[in-house]
Amino acid sequence: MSKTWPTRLARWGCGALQALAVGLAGTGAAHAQSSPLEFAVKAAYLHKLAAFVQWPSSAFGSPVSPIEFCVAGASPFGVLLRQAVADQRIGSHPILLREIDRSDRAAGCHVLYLAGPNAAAVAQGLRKVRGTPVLTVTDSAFQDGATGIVHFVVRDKRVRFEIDDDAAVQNGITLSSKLLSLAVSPGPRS
Amino acid sequence: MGSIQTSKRRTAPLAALSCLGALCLSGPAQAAQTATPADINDLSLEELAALEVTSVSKHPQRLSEAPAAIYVITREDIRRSGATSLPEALRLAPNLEVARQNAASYSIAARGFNSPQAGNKLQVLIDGRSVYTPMASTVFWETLNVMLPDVERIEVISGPGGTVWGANAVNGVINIVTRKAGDTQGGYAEGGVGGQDRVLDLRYGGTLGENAAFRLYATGFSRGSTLEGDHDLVHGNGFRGVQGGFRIDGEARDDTYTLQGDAYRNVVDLLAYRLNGANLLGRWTHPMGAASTLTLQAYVDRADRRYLVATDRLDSLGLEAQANTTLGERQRVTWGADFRAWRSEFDSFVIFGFARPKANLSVGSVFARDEIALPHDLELTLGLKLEQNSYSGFDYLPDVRLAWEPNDQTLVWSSVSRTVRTPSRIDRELSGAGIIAESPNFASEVLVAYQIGYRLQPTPRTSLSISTFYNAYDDLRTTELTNGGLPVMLRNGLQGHTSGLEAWGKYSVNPSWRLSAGVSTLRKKLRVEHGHFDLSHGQTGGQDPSYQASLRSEMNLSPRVEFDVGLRAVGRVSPTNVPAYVEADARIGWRITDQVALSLNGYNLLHSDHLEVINPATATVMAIPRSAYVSLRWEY
Repeated sequence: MSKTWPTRLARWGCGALQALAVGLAGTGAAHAQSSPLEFAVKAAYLHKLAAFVQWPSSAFGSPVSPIEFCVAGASPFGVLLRQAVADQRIGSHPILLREIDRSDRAAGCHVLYLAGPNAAAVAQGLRKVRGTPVLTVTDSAFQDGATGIVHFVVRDKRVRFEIDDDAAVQNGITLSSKLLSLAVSPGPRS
Repeated sequence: MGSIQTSKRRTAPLAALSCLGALCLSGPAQAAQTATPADINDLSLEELAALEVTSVSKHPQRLSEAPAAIYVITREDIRRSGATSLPEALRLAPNLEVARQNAASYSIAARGFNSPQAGNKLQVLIDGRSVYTPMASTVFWETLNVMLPDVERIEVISGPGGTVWGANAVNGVINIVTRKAGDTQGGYAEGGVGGQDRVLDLRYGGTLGENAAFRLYATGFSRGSTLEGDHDLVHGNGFRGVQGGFRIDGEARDDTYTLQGDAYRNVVDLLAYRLNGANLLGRWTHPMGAASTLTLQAYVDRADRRYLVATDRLDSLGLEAQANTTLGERQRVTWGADFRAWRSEFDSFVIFGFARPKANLSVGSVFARDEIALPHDLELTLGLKLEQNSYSGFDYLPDVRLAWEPNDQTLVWSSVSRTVRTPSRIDRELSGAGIIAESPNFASEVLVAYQIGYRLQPTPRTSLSISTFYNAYDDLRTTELTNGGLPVMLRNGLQGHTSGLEAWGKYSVNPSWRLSAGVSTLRKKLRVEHGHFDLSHGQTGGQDPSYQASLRSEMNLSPRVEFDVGLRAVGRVSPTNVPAYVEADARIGWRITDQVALSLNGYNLLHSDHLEVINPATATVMAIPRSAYVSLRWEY
């Protein structure tokens, strides 16, 4: 599809209008096919989920060193995630938010949200951190092809998540039974 | 931060429109729930899960929502089954009959008509490439060396394939989907050896620049003869082969594309059967605005079969275009066209064969399907395919489905479909020695299928699917005398109906223990129409058990050790009187390190051997023996 100036204008206008409408600053950042509220919920989830995950103590330098939340690719959250984690702690660990442009800069991340529609790139990102203590998070708003330990889905107009417990085991992190009980079972990928 | 703007998928008018939609929807949603982002952050996980969000566009339909009898075999299912070949992996589907004849050959069917000779009502696609041959309307399973670790999933649809599947999806479709190249990066090697099988799988995947990935693979196998003792190269049935291939997946701007190909060389000792072939397929998907896509696909395929009594070469060309779009908020339309052309050359060295060895055949169709969301959680799907084949001309294939999905856990569906099996070369052209004459009037076999299904997820750990069907067949193949004497001709003189039930369920006892069970039943009533006579005594009806049942347990004994058991029971096969049998497989998997895993398998453990099917064409009855198999996998 050729990108003519009306397309660009409409895209820019839409992003700006959406941002205005919901009082957010992240122009164009909210994913086109999803409502801003959907991502506000996901941002909240990301922060809440972490409380039910146990990392090996070796994943932290000290009991008070920060827990790093990383967003790889174009962040769909705008300021939502920053608001969600502001002044929050997971146990004794303060939350540090990092936006990384490429998943190979994921060293040190404890939670890694892989954005973007390119399943191959997401799969590569997942591979890069496989076997290291990282809670990988993917999102069906972008793609269903490559899924992390947590995969956000929308069911019945509600944001839910699927859990790949085997992948968690592989990465050496432990998910509480509460998380597992809240997860929806993955449907066959369509 | 990267600069990927996902909104660039839109054209200007659509962008403006969806933008307005987003505004209209997000406004009330915000107002109604008065949930600001700050409030949301105070909610518990449970409250988050219950919070309704507004999604502007409908998400693509998941298979679990599709109104059809679909069973999906996942990559994990295949791995844990210990299957070393595609047909063995297909045993996981409760809605398939899988009967092994010998080391190389299987007959596989859905909803009956299984037969080593006349099984002709199943369509099989590998990444969109049809491997159904118009020579005999069948699938030569011994030519399909699919490398199982590269399979993403296998969708098994019992019942007519509906409107959008290719021609000849009469009683079912098996859709094998391999993994995208991006998902198979790095190296993989797996080697196994056992009483019957030796298998070696090798794969390497890498990237081609930033936006494309590739894999190269090679697989080789050797399967021992299912006959005991020493046999010469003609009478034993040992089977071996190699296959190599590649797959490239990439993105260019908003488009995605796939290019893949395979080549194989297999040998079966029985009748000195040699199978060579290669194929190349390209697929391109282009988004058109927010909710529409266009997919174009083309492939070429050559399959060469040579054995003691004949040579058979088939060149295939497949072209397909498919687009989908939304019409307003309530309708989703899929439409397209496909065309398959074959050049067949069959040279027989015995008295039966084709008078003209070469033939050019084709099937072309246009189709449209409209999914319409109705009030009260109902969805109506209307489909129509118009098909033209080079033997019997024009056919219409309508399909109507109604689904009721009151919530995410429940789906009730029903359908009525008409579909046909187009004539094969055998049906039309087989002749020889004044015994059998060509049948230029052999017409398509016709099925009208009625189905009702129910899918339920009563708890997050439990899922259940039940489907029932009533199939009314007409114009099935008969072998008839001409004017009371020879030669015989193939005609369309058989009709009747089948009915049955397919049910399966899964239950997670806990996160490390899963149980699954499946059952299928079949009743068949076929009769020769007035004015017809069938010399083959209903051979067309196939040989089917009246029931099949299976039970599987997959258990993680520790994070690194898996213990899996599968049990299957198959009823007595009628009319060939193959006895009912119960067999069991077991597997222990041990992930020694993150890269290396060991697997110990036992197949058909309960008996020293058992029989699954009788091929009247081969005198020797071949039973399937018990065997063990050990494999080592290495990934990096």
